[in-house]
Amino acid sequence: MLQIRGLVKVYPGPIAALQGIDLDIPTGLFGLLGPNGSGKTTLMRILAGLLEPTAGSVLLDGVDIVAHPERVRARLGYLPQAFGFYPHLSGHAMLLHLLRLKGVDAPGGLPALASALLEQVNLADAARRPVSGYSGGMRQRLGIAQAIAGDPALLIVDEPTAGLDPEERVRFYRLLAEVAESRLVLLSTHIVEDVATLCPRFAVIRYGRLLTTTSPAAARQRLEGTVFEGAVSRDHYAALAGAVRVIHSHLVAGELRVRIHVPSGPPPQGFVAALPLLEDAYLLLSDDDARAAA
Amino acid sequence: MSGGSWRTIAGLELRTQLQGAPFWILLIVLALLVGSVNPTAMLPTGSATIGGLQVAATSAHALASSFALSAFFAYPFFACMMAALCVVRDEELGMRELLHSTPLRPSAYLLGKLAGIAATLGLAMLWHLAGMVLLRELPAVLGSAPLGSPFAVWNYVLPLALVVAPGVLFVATVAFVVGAFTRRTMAAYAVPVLYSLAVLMLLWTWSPPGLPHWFDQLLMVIDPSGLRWMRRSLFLVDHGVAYYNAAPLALNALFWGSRVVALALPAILVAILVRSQAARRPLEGGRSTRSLRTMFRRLASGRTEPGAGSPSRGAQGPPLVRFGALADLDMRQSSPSTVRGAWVVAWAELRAMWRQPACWLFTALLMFVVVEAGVSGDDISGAPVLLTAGTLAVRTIPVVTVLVCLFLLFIVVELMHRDTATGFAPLANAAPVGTAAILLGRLASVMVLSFVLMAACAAATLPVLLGQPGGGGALWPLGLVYGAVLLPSFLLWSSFVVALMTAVRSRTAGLGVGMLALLGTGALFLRGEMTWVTNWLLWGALRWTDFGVFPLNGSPLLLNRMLALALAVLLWAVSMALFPRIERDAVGSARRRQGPQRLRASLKLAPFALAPVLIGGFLAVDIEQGWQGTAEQDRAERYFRENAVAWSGAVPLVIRTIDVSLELDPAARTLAVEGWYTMVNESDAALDRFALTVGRTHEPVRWTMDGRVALADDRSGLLVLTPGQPLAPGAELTVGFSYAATHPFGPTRNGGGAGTFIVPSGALLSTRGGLFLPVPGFVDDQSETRYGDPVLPGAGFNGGHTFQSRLRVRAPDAFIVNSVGTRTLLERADGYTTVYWQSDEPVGAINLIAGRWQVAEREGVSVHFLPAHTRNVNEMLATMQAARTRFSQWFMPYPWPELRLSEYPDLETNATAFPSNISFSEGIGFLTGGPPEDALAFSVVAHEVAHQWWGHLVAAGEGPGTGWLVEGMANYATLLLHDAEHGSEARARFARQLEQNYLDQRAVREERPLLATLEGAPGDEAVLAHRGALVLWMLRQSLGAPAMEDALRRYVTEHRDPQRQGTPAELLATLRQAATAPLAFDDLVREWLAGTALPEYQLSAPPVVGSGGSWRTVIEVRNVGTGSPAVDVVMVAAAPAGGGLPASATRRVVVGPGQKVRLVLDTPFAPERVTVDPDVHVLQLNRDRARLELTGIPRLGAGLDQGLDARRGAPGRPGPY
Repeated sequence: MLQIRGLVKVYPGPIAALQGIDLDIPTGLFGLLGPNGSGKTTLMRILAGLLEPTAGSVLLDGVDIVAHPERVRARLGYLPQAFGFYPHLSGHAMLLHLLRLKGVDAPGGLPALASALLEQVNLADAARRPVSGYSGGMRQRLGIAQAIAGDPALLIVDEPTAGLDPEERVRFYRLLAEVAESRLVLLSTHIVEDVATLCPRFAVIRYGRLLTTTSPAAARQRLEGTVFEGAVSRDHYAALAGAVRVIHSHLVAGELRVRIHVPSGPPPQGFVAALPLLEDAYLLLSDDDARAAA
Repeated sequence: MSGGSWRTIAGLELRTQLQGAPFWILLIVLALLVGSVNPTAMLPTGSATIGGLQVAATSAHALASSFALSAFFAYPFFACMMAALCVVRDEELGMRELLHSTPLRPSAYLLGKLAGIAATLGLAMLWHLAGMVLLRELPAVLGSAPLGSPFAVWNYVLPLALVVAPGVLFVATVAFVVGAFTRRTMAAYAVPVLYSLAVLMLLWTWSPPGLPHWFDQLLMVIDPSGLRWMRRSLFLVDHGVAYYNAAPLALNALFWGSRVVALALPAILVAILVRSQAARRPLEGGRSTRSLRTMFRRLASGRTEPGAGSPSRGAQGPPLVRFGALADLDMRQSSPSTVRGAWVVAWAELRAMWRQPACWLFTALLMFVVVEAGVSGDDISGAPVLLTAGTLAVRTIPVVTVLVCLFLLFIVVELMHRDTATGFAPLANAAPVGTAAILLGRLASVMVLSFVLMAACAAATLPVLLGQPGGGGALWPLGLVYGAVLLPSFLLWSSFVVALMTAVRSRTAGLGVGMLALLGTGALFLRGEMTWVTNWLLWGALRWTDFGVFPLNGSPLLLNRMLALALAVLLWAVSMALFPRIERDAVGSARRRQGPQRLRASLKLAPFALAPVLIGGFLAVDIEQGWQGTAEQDRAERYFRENAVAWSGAVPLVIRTIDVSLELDPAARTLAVEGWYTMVNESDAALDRFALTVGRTHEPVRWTMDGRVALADDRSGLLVLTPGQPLAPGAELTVGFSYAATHPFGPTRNGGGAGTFIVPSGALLSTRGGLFLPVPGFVDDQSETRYGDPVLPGAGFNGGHTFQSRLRVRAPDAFIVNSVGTRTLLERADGYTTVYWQSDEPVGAINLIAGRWQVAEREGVSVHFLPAHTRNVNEMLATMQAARTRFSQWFMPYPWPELRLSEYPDLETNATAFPSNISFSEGIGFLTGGPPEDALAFSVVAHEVAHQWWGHLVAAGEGPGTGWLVEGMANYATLLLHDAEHGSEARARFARQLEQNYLDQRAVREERPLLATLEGAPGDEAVLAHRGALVLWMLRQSLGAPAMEDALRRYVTEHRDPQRQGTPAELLATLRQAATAPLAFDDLVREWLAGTALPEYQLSAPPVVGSGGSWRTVIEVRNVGTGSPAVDVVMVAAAPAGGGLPASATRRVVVGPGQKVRLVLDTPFAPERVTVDPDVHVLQLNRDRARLELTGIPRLGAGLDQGLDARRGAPGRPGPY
C-alpha cells in the first residue's frame, strides 16, 4: 500500500507543481491521468526517491520514502519519462549493467537473465547492437526491460507507451498486467486509452491537484445516457457549442463529428446516443475543473 | 549562405558563451597573468648598478613579450574548450533534429558558431588589453613607479592584434574543427594539450646545435604563438637595453609569414569542414555515422541510413509474450553492498576508458614526453648526466603531473557528466546502488587509469635507462616515484574534480574551475610561495639521490602524501554530501542552511576534516619552526637589525688554529662539537670585546676563554664575549666552545636541497657556510639563499686569513670521514671509528664529509664513492693522479700526502675543492656521461684538482678580475692537462667547449673587460672562467710554453705566502717579464683582458685553379668582429684513400677588425677545405662559419646574410681541420 499525504512541491518561480496530494494506492495497477504539466512526473519522481517534496509524506508499506529514499530503491522499478543509455554499450551490456546496479540476481545468472528480459521486450535480435543505433521505440523497450527486472514491490512507469507502435503497446500492456498481479504498479500517462485498458482504478490530476479517484467503469457509468454523438457543419458548430456542452469534436471529410454531453433532456436534432467513453469522462472532468478555476 | 542566419547563430553563441563559466574564468586567469607575468622576462636584464639603465616595462618589446607569454598560458585551454564544445553541446541538448528541419545551411551554422566563438574571444582580448594598459601605465601615472617608455597605444594594440589574436584564433579554430568533425569531447580536449606541448617542446625554444637555418625559419613561420620568432629574431641577440626601450618592433617577412600561416591554416580547415561529408549533414551525430565499425556493418548489411534499427524478426511476426514467463525468471533484487556496487561502477567505467582512443593516444604521448623530459638536462658544468632510475623519474615529475592532471580533469569531468548528457541519470539514481559505491567506483576506475599511466611512464624510461652504458642501475625507484609518491596526488586531484562536478554540475564549469586550480597551483609555484602543505603535485620538491630514499625530505614528503590522502577522503565525503542523487527542494535547502541543521550538516563532515587539518597544521608549524621557516627568517632579521650598526664594521679576531672534537651521529642527524680556536687580534686597536656568529641549531653553546668559563651575550645569534682584559693588538686568546647541532633543523619549506647536511647516509659540512663552526665576527648579508643555508659572502669564514686545523671525528664504523689535510690516526672501538685530521699547511677553509663508501686508491690519490657509481671512477682516479703529478710540476709540488675526492648525495649539485679534500655531488663526475672522446669526467675532475693550487695554495684577493685567478686558471690548467694527457685534439675539443660556454653565457652588450669584471652579474663567470682560460692559452701561444710555465711557477712561489693574495695585475706583470716581445704581449692584454675583443672570420674564394700537381687557391679572409690576433688559416686536401693525414698548407695571418686579407696558396694537392684556426688556439665568434668548402662552386662562408648570432654554430666534433 502506498499512502500519500499532503504532498506539496513548489519549484522556484514559484511554480506549485503539486498542491497537496492525498492518495492511497493499493496493490495492483493504478493509473495517474492528467495533461502535460499537471504534475504527474513530479509525483513520479518523488515516489521514485529522486525529488524532494516541499511538504508531505509518502509511505510504502510503512516506510517513509521522503525521509529515506534509499530504502525504496531496492524495491523499486522505475521507467522515467525521459531517460537515456550509454551509447557505446550494446543493449545486452547496458541491461546487464543496470541489473548489477539494481542488485538483481537470478538462478541462471545475470547474462542469461538479461537475454531473457530482452526476449520479453522483443529486443533479442538487437541485443548485441550498440544502443546508439536503437530507435526510440527500442530504447523504450530496453527501459521497460530494466524497469521490470528484479522483483520490485513498486513499479513506476511514466508515459511508458511513448514511442511504441501499436503491436508493442499491446505487448507492453500484457507485460504490465502480469507484473501488476502481485505488486503495486503506478502508471502515469496522458493517454486515456492506456488507463482505460489497464487500470482498475485511476486518479485524475490537473495543475497539481487531485480531481478525482475512481475506476473506468464508474466514470463511464456516471455518463450513462448523457453522451450523444452527431455531425454538424462548421457553420453551425458555434451555435451548437453555445447551446450544449461539447465534449470534443474532430473534422472528418469537411464536417465536424461532435460528441456532446446532455445531462438531461433530449439531445439536439441529428444526435444519437453514444456509449460513454472514459475519454468523455476525463474531458468533462477537466472542463469542469477549468470552469471552476475560471 | 544566408547572411541573417549565420549572424543569428553567432549572436546566440556569443550570448551562450557569455553566460558560461569558461569565459569568466578566462577573464580571471588573464587578470592574474597580466599581474604576474614578468613583462621583461624575455628581455635582457638592465644594469645592476644603482641608477643604471633599466628595462622599461611599457616598451614595445616588453609589451610584445608580455602579451605573447600571457596569451600562451591563458587562452589555449579555454579557447579550445569553448570552441570545441559548442557543436557538441547542441548535439547533447537534442538540437540536432530541430536544426536539421530548418532552412539553416550547414555552412551558416558552422560559420555562425565560429563567429560567435571569435566574438567571445575578442571580448576576452579586449579585457586583456585593458588589463595590460591599466597595470602598466597606472603606476606611472600615479607616480608610484618610474616612467618607462612614453605611453604609446600602438605598443599595446599591435601585439594584441598581430601576435595574440592570430594565435588564439588558430587554436580555437582547430579545436572547433576537431569538435565539429568528430563530435567527441576527448578528441577536442587533445587540441590544447598538443598545441601547448608542440610550442613548449618544439616551436618555442628547441634549437639543437646544427639545426639548419632554413628549418629554424620554417619553425618560426609555423609557430602560431609567435614566441619562437620573438625569441630568435628580437631577443636572441642582445641589442641592449637602450634599444629595447626605444625601438619599435622589427616585424620582418618571417613574422608576417607566420601570421598568414596562423590565419590561413585554420581557414583551410574550416573550408574543408564546411565542404566535407560532415558539413553536408553537419547536424548528424558523429558517433553513429562515423564509427568505422558501424559503417562497415551498414555496408555489409546493405543499409544506408544509420540509426534506423534493424528490422528484427519480431517485427515480421512477433512472437507473443509468454504469460508467466516473467515469474519463471525468478528474479530477486537487493541493495548491492558498497564494495560490490563500487566494483560494478568501476568495471563499467574501465570498459568505457578501454574503448576510448584518447586514452591510448594520451598514454603514448605521455611516454614520449617522459622520455623527452627525462633525457634532457645536463649537470652544472654543462655535461650530460647518466641517468639513474630515481633521477629520471624525479626529473619528469613536473611534466608528468601536469599532463596527467589535465587528462584526469577531462576524464573525470566527462565521467561525471556522462549520466546527465546521456539521460542515464534517472535510471542510475533510482537504482539501489549506494552513492558511496558510485563515487568509490568512479574514483577507483580513475585510479586504475592513473596506475596504468604511471606504469607506462616507467616502461617508457626503461629503454633510456637500460640503453645507457652500464645499464640504469636499480629500477625500483621507478615504482617508488611513479607509484607511491605520485599516485596520492592523482587521487587527490581526481577527488577534487569529482567534488567539483558534484557541486557545479556543469561540464564547462568543471573544466574551467579545474583549469583555474591548476593554473593557481602553477602561479603559487612560480612565485615561490609553495610549501609542503600546498605542494600537492610535488613540483620542485624532490631531489633523488642513490644514497638513500629522500634523506633530506623523507618526513615532510610522508606527511605531504598523508595530507593528500586525507584531503582526498574529505573531498570524497563532500562529494557524498553534494552528489545530486536526489534533487533537493529549494525551501528545504534554505531551511537546512539555517541554524542547527546547518551545524549538523557541517558536523557530519567534521570527522573527515580532522585528519587533513591535523596533518596540515602539524606540517605547517613544523615548517615554520624549521630552518627555512619564518622563525628562522625572523631570527635572521633580528640578527641583522640588532647587530649591523654596531658590528658590521668591527674587525673580528682572526683564527690561527682550530682544534675541535666532533661526534657525528648520522642516524640522529646530529653533530656534537667541542673545541677551541686560537684567535689573535690583528687590528691596530685593543679590543675589549669580540663577537662570533653561531648557527641557529647550535645549542646550547658553552664558552670558555683561556680555559675559564665565559658567558656570552647572545644577540640573536651573534655571541659577544668580553675578555677579562682588553685584547691588545697582536695578542692571542683561546676561545673554547661546545654545542650540539642538527643539520638541517626541521623540514625544508618546499623540498629542494641543502648545502650543509647530516642525514642517515652521510654528512657534508664546511666552513663555506655558517652552520658548521662558529664564524668570527658579524656576517653581513647572509641571505644569498633566502632561507637558512647561507653561504658566507666576501672573504669567507676567516676573513680570507689562513689557519691550521686539527679535527678529531668520531662516527659509526660504517662511515668513512674525510677532511682537510693529513689523516694522522685512526682508531676503532665499540662500533665507532675515530679519525684525526690535521691540516699541516695553512688553509683558508675546511670541510668534513662522511659516507658509506667504497674506496679506490692509487698513489697519492683516492676516490670515495657509492658502490653503485663505479662507471667513471677509474677515469676520475687516473685524472686525479695525472693532475696531481702534472700540476705539481707546472705550478708547485703538492704539499699533502693524499688528495681525496669524495662523493656525496645530490642534495646540492656542486663540486667544491677544499684543500686535499674535494667533494663532488653524485650528479657531477660520477654520473657524467657523454661520448668518451669528450672526456667530460676528466675535465670536471681536472678543474677541481686545479683549485688545489688556484684557490687554496695560491689565494686570490678581492676585486675586479680576481675570479680569473681562480676559475680561469682552473680551466686553463684543465686545457693543459688535456693537451698533456690526450693530445692536441682533446685540448682543442675542450677549448671549443669553453668557447661555446662563453658565447652561450655571456651578456653580449653588457660585457665588461675581464680585468674590470667582478663576479655576480649575469655573464661574469663566462668571462672570468671561460674567456679567461682561453686568453691564458693565447698568452701561452704568445709567450711560448716553457716561458709561460716558468712565469706561472714564479707567480705561485711568490704568492704561496698565505698572507699574500694575488691580483691579476701581479700575474700579468710576472708573465710580461717572460715575454720576448713585450709590446705584442701588451697588445694582447689590451685587446683580450682590458678589452672585449672577439674576432669573427669569414672566408671567400673564387674557383680553385689547377691541374695535375699544381693548384692555386686564392682566399679572402675577412674579420667582421673585433680584435686582431694572429690566426692560422689552414687549407686541407681530401683524406687519402689509403688512410693517414691529408695534405695541408698553413698560413698565419693577422686580420684587423673590419679588414680583410688576401692569401694566395700554391699547393701540390687539390684543396678541399680551408679553415681559420682549426686547432682552436684563438677565441672567436661563429667558429663553424670560418670554414669554406672549396670543391664545386665557390660561395661565401655561411652566415654573411644572417648578421650577428652569437649563439649559433654547433660545437660538434671537429675533425683534424
